[in-house]
Amino acid sequence: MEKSLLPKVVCLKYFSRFAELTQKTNEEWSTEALTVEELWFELDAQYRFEQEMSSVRPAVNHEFCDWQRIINDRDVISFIPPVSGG
Amino acid sequence: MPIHYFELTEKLIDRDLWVEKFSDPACGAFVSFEGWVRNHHDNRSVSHLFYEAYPELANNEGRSVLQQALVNYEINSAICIHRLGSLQIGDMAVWVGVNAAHRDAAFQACRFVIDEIKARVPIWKKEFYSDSNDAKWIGAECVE
Repeated sequence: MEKSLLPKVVCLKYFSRFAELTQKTNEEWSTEALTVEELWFELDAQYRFEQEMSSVRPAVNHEFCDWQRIINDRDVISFIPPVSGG
Repeated sequence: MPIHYFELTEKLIDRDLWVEKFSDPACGAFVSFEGWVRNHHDNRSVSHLFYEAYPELANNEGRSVLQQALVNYEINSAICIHRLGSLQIGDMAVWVGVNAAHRDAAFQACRFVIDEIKARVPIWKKEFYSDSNDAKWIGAECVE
C-alpha cells in the first residue's frame, strides 16, 4: 500500500508520564504517517518518550489496536504507557 | 439476573452501598477485594498517591474484564469501582465484589478481576514520597 502524501490531522491524547513529558494532555497533530507505528516513531523523535515500545500499547478511537492500524483523518490516538491501577 | 458494572470515581468508595447490590437468594458466596493505599513502596516512604485514567478506554476495558469474568467462572455478578484523584494513606483505591452459588468460583473470579484490572485497564498512579519532593509515575519508568 502506498503511503498517502496527504497529511492527516489526528487528535493525540497523552497520559501519565507522557503527558508530563509533552506538557500536554492532548493536541492536534498533522502527519503523513500511514500506521500508528509510524506515528509513534514520529512522536518519539519529537518528544523522546524514553519508553520501550514493547511496553507501550496504541489505542485509536478509545480502543486498543495493533501497531499496524491504518491512521485515518480525525482519529483520536493515544499511546498507553504501562498501567499501574489497583 | 447477572450484572457487571465498572466505575471510575473521584468520591470515596462506599462499600456498604455496593455490597447491597449483591443480595441474591441464589448465591451462597460473596467475595470482595479492597486495595488500600499503603505507606511504603520499594523501600521508600510514601506520603500519598494520585490516580489518573483514560476514562473512555478504561471504562471499555473495565467492562470487558468483568464480562470475561462472567464467561470464565460460574458467578452471578461482578462489580469493580476504582478511585481517581488524590488519595491518602489508608484510603480505598479499588473495590471488587463477586457473588456466586459457591465459594470456589467467587474466590477465583475476584482474583481474576483485580489481576486483570491491574494489568490492562489504563489507570496510572503517581507516588509522592515523605522523604523528598520527588514523585514518580509507577510502571512507566524511563529507559536508562
